[in-house]
Amino acid sequence: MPERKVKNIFTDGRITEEFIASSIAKHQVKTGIGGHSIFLGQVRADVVDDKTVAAIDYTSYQDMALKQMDLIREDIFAKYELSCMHVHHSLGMVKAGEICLFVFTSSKHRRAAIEACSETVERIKAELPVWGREIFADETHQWKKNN
Amino acid sequence: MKLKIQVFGQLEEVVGQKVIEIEPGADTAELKKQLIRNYPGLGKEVFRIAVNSELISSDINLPPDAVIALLPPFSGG
Repeated sequence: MPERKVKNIFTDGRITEEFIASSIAKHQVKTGIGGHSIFLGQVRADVVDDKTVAAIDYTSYQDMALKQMDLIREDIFAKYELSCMHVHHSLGMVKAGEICLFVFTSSKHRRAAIEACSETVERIKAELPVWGREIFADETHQWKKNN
Repeated sequence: MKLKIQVFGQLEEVVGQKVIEIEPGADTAELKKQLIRNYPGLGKEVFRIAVNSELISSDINLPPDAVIALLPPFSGG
């Protein structure tokens, strides 16, 4: 039975490669798993009017985001046969090239993990009250728009 | 007792603060009118209202001690 406590998905700053690798390593003991699907969101150096994004500063209405993520998690576990799902989202400053979102699903057979991961990413971007302020090299900024 | 409203994303730049206080109205329709009266810049912005961490899709009465937030379009991930 998947756990249903409200999990804190937020991390201060970037998500490190070491953390991602150790998350994978922790699943070695779960030998019922046949496939993992991993999505990594990386801050892209977008060019807007000759200015390049140097970093994104993420903020969130955390109470609501955690509640909503919990609902998404419930829906995804109800829809797909997963062994587990882990979601990590950065808060604060993340530089271009660094990882700001890590979604990791695992299942006995690969299809569930792949489809669940994809759907979770889309729902996170659509439904979580999180905002990105894109900071340019000249320290001006604009607010990110998702599509 | 004034209502405290949390303001997120680019809306914070529009109103100049993270938390604003306004006189409580009976419902969210009244709240919106008050907000635009006090902060006309909000009139040009797209945002939704959350009451007690739930997005409202149509106007509702405000429960006592309601926790209110103004949320511009999300851009996480």
